[in-house]
Amino acid sequence: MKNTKELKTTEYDKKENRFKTIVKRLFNNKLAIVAAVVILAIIVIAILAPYITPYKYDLMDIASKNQGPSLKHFFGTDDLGRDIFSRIMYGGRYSLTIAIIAVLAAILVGIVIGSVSGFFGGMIDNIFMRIMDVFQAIPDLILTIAISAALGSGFDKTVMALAISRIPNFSRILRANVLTVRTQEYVEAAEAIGCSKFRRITKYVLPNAWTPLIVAGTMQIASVMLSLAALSYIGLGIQQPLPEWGSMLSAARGYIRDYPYQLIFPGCAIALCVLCLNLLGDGLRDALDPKLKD
Amino acid sequence: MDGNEFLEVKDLVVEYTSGGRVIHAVNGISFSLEKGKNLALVGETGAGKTTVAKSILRILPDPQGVIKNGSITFENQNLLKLNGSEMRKVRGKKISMVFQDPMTALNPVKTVGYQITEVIRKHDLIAKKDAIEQAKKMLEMVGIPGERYYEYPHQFSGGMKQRVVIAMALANKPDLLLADEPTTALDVTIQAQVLEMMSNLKETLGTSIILITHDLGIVAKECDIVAVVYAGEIVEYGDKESVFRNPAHPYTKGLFGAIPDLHSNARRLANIEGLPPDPSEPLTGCCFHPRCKYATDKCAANKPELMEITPGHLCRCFQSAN
Amino acid sequence: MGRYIIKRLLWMIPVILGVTILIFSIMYIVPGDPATIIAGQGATQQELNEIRERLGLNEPYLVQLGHYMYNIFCKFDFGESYTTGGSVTAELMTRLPRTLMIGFTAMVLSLVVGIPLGIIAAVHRNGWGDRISMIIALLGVSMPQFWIGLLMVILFSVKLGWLPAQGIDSMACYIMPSIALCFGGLAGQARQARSSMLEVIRADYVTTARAKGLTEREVIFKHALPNALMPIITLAGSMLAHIFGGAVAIETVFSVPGIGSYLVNAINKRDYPVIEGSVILLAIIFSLVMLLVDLTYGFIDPRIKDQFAGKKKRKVKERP
Repeated sequence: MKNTKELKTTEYDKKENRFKTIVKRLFNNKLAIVAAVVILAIIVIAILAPYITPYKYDLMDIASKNQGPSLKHFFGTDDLGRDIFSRIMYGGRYSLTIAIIAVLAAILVGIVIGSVSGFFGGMIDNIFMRIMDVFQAIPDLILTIAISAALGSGFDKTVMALAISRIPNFSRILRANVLTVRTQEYVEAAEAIGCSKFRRITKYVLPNAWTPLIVAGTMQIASVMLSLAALSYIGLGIQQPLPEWGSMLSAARGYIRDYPYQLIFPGCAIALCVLCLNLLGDGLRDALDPKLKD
Repeated sequence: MDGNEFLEVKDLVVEYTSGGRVIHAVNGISFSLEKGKNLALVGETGAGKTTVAKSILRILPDPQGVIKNGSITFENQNLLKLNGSEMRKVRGKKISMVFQDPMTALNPVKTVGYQITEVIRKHDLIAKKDAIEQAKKMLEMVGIPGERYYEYPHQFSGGMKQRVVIAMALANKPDLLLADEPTTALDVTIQAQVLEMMSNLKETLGTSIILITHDLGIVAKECDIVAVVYAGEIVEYGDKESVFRNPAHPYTKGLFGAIPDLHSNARRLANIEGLPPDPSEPLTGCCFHPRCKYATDKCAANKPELMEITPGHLCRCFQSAN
Repeated sequence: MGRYIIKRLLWMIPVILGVTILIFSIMYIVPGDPATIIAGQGATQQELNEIRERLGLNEPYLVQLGHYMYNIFCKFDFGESYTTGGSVTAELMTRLPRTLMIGFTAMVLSLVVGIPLGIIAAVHRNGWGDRISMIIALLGVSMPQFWIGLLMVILFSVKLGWLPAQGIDSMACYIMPSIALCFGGLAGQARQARSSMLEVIRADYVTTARAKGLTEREVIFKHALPNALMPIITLAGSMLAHIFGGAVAIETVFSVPGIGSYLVNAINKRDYPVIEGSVILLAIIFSLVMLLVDLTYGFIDPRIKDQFAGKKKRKVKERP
């Protein structure tokens, strides 16, 4: 009836344990798991959209235009007779892909700027951070609009505009991380044995940074999706006939009095994605860095 | 174990609920304290000592911490039966507490002086001016210049912060001071200073102290009575001389044995094998038996009571009765 | 404290200059000929050349940049609209009060309703009020602002007929845009306030305050709240960015003739002076508001006051 516990002492065990604990904590959070499953489902639907939608997204049937939800058209039709349900399923492709690519790009550039800035300090840090200050002095969406207005609408240009507007955020996260880690003794020790700056960044700083990056990344994907919707709504971003959810709302605006249902579904789609991403982000944050939650 | 009516804790049981699990922090602790004497609560981290102190003041985290059973009688009042406003009159005035970590015990956005004045004016209807004077005097008493009243906690070092906390705790000249590892977070030289200051204050103000610590050296210097706490129970209790000369419980013996001896030629530090039990799982038998060298089947099956070995010296162990 | 204010103000100037340079440069490198935009498709070569001369479009980049900045900061002249030829500055000034009205109301609502909501939720955590308000808050941050506006129009204008859907004919017209705009920020503030408060309530100095015999109310208001406010104010900055950015789309939804709709219309017509002017003006206003936020922060946190009483020039608090 021994009540003592075996102490795990090997380094390998510790690392594995940490990962397992994180995953366990995440799985305990039922909301986050549900959210993750929903997102996965949306992604799968988006990928398979060309094969599983009841109608092609650009199939026009003028005779059936502006019909409300029915068995034939689950979400009804728009003013060109296109099936809204199919268009919504298709729309996920644009929103998700653009958001994910933009955030990944922003993270990459942010990592470079942040680590260089934090690590080298001094003049370089000053210059970079002042430039970031200038970018951040313009509210997110307005900056995106300005860049988008300059570049034009379209898939890759929108990705670029969205990515650029998120770079300052990720740079700061990385830089903060670098500043914290840089003064730790084990990094000084590495320097003392002749470890190059590059190696110190890649081996010590970056592994520590992935925690806040994952959480911030998830939240930013949500934020970018909202920005993309707004962009498309005002005429930039992705435009008709492509079924991007924001531009669908823009097209439906004119029918707000007569066919308000057309405004409901695209908005719900956006809200659902963003909601799940937020829940997932919250769950990840709690799992990766829990404080006692009682 | 019959003290007079200054402080008597009887059969205290405290539980924490955390994420659905129940943690048995305190499993039936009883002790008493005479006015003017000092009691040391000794034990490892997690033994339940801080919980006992917080229970006396009834500042356990709410709703996680619950006092399930027991009574705490102080100056003829059962503290556990007082209502909110009556209890508040006790806190900071009759019983005060000094917390373990000075770095976080002070509110960063208020001046240190304000935090002392606050506790004075809470319990005494005096003019603000007078309260400020009193607070400044308290600061002087703990060795901090009175002008520093207007400074903020971040402008003080760790040791000085702890002194501010002590000044705050003693500002209303409480009858009882609960000091939860007051010097653990400080380095050794500052430790000595702070302890000496507390000693002097005790003499001047006549305060009784319950000192929570894991440092036996401090116990030897400062306290009259020692209670050794393990897994939420008192396993040994007595006056300082008896317990130090004749540690009866195997755990106490282990603690004394673990003190490094500069004069011996040991190559490894002696320690006590094993770990304290998981407080979320109930135990059968003696709480120490899994780690005990002398454990028998009787120890595993039955829970020993506190038994008197010599007058005033109690031990919770079947073996010690020999 | 005065030094802190002055330093903060001085720091704002290079940032605004930087913003101007940035926006001008972005618009400069866009392909397309402003002269054609102004004159229209059927213009003759001579007309186009005239326009180019008049607007200095043949000058090198730096000269144009210099002119532009000089005009803005010394003469407060944002140039002429490519489409109407009218003064951009005049139009901006006419539209500014409307945008400010909506934005200001939204800001105040977000702070005044959002923060107390979050704090109450934290103090009564896990009660049904907490759960409900947090669910609503979560929805609030997840819905696109302009979509909330559209839904409000459907409910309050189309179905119920209570409020006007567009324009600014009456004060009532400002109600829906302000509320739609504040929703996301309010929700964000409530969530942030709640988590900030929960963390602070657990702090040692709160237990100390209780141990001194203070009432629960004194503990919350004098000890927990001031400390909880600091991260809240820090994040108020990003909420404000949301509101400013959202104003653009909201003005489009409700047809409010403010700076936001000015900007959106200009984009479609490639009216660059308008785009530049609108963005720069919005950035200036935003920076001023952020300045106020920073100053508030400095007032509350004595550590910041200390930092700037000394010689440090760097901004201490990093924006998220």
